Amino acid sequence: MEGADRTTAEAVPAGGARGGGSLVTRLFVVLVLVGLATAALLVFGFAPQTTRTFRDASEELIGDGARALWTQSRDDTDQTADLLVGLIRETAEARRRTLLDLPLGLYGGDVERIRERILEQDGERARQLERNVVVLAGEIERRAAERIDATLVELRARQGRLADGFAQRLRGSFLLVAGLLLVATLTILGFGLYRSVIVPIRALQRATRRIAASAEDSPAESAWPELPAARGAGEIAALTADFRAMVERLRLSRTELHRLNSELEAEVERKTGQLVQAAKMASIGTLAGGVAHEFNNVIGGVRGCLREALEDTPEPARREPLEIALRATERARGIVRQLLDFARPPVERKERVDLRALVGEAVALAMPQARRHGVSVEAEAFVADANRAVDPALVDADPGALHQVFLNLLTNAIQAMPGGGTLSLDLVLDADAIEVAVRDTGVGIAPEHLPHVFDPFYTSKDAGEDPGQRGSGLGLSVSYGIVQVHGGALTAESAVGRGSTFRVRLPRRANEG
Amino acid sequence: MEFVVRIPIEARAPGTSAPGRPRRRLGLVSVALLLAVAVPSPAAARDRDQQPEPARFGVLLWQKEAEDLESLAGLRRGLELWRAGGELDVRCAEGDPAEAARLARALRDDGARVLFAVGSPATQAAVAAVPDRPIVFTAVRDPLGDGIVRSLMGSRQNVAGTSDRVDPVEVLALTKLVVPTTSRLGVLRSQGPRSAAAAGEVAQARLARQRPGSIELELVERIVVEAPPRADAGPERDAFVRALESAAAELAREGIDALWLPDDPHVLPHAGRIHAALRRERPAGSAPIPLVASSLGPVRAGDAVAGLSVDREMLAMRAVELAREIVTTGVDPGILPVGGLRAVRIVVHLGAAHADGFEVPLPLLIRADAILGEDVRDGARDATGEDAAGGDRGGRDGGR
Repeated sequence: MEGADRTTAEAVPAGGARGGGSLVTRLFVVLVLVGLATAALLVFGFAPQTTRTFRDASEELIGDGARALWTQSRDDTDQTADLLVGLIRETAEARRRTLLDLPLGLYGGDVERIRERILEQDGERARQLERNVVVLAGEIERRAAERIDATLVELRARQGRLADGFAQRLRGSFLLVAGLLLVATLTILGFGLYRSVIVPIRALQRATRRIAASAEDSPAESAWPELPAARGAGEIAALTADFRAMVERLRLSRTELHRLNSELEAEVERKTGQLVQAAKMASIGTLAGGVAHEFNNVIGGVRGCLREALEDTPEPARREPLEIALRATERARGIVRQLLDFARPPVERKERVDLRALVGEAVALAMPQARRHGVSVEAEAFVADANRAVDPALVDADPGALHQVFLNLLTNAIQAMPGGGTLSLDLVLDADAIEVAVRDTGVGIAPEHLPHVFDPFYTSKDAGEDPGQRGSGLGLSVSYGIVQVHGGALTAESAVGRGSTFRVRLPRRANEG
Repeated sequence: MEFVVRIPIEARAPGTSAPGRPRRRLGLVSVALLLAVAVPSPAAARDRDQQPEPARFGVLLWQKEAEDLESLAGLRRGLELWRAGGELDVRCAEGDPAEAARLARALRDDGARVLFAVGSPATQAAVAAVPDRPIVFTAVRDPLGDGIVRSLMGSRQNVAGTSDRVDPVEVLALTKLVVPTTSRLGVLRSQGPRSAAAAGEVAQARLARQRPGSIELELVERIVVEAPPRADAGPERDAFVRALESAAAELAREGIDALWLPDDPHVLPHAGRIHAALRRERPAGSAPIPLVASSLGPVRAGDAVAGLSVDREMLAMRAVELAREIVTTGVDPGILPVGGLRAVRIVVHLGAAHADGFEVPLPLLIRADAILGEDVRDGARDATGEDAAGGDRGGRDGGR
């Protein structure tokens, strides 16, 4: 959980941006750079070129205008010269005609008066020419003004066309520059998006597919693919990091699930074994119970006969076989009682039982036998100590039956250590169960025998041993049935040469205190 | 009312200069003449004392138009140069032929040694009424066509004089001045009792074109055969004017470069309508078609761009020269050829040209003897030098 929390904390940093900044920030930076590049292009490239073009066009226009005015001035000068020549000719011709028209006869040969008349006509002609020249000058001025106006109109029209053309070129150039900048911007943005978004997303996609495939094919932790590194834009990097954290949590979940599955399978297998064992024992118990009941009746008859025979036989030599037979029947009756216990566990009435005290009594009963076998007993948890405060190990159980279980386990442990050893008992208090472990350092149980130790009539004790020491093969089976009747479980672990451990796990009674 | 003015003829001493020439200030001329009649000069009285039998000269005017008065001034000045002395008896018929004949006889009866007649109607009346006294006419456009003389080389009767006829070659030259690139010159005249002069002009122009070195022009003539109206208003006049407009429009559509109006007294009064028809009917996009007249009436009315005339004062002085020859040498007036002037006066109406969008060639302005319709730069003075408020500037029929 701590790892998951840490991953989550990394996946969602403050501000939502990580690494190279958010995508919006990057786009903003790119657009600012493009804007600066555009401004630089306009200021240092386009503007000077535009100025040169405009200046060239203006100089051309001014040059054309100057040439037009110069041509007009030259034409006016030529025309004026022609007019002056014509004026001289016309003046001479008019004077000639006027002289020819003079009524010389009226002057009577008076040369003075003729001269006076000629001078008078010349004066009139001169005044008329003066007036004509004034009008002519005005007309020339008017026409020159019209031509100049026409020239200016033409120049204005050309200027307008030049301006239109210039504006059109300007617009075209601007559109070209804007188009190039747009393409460049889109290319940059596209490349940036490809690097920042598409590539990481594709990596995530590939990783997702690999994860899906690998998770289906192999749940092993080592089979998980390498996740993509958190790179790209801030949001994408955050997404990748979140994805990595999610995958990590998924991996952990799957591992835990796998572990739980394994445990569940083992538990199922164990429970199945227990069920099989229980069924087996139930069938054997039914059979053994029937047989034991009938056999107990037979044994009862035999014992009665033997007691009567003993009462009737006073001589010792003859009483000895009878007494041996009676003891044998006693033993047979014990076996039958065990069989009956096996068939129907002897649970009379459940009550509150303190396992510490119950196990401690069983240990006390087994101590003499342990000492005979040179076995040391370690059972501090079950030794009453007024100076030590301990949690009570309370269960609901038949105290007699449980006492039988633990005495049986202690006896078996002592018998498993014929050369001496250590018998240790541990108590584990869980919230809902109490477990008592009985360990010995004896010969151990071979692995092939371990699954059958709870089978009835199965015993690992050598057949050549003392019959009094040989088990009936029902002790562990009966104990198994008693524990099971109490809702608990009896399990065995063993290693050959190192000893065995039997664990009794019982439901814990709720603490009344 | 009879118009009678007796003017003592002053014989100026040699070396005395003439006063400023009032040729173009016709209004002032009229006033001066009247003042001269009312207040006889001391010199004239002295001459009468020295000459017990002063010569008498009669002048018969048809009307008191400015041009007639200009001729009268020329007669007076010529007589002064001649030092004829005596009196100049001036009478005006006010446009009445019978009155003109009566006045002519009265002048003869009053002892006029020579009878001057100004203009064709007055001359015709005088010739018919006075067969026994030398008659010297002036300002008669077509003395031959008007029946005044039998030949331009001599009348073979008691008549001699000077004509203000303008050589058609001068008209062609003027056309070339107005439109230097002209190749088709339209001509519009009528076919009426007073159209002989116009017909003669056109015929002489055609002949002139055949002379070597003459101006090459194609004359496109339209003759309106509609009967000329006898009155200034009425259906006849309207039909005649519509015919003139139709002919002008037809000429415009035919692509003429200019239109010449000869000295046709039936046509010239309607130069304005003709001018409007030209402006209206000329092909779109083509250059304006200027109107050129053989007289000054259309020019003064602002309808024609240019017109021709002669110096009437000088022409009258030439008539006095003929009278002097008749009186001093006793030559028979019938053998004296009809006189004229070599110099012609070109009058240009710049305002009319501007109104039509026609650009007057500058050489024409140099050549012009008078320029109308244009204010000079230094004032509102008319460029002709004439008094802007005086004189008849247009609307006058015939320009005679």
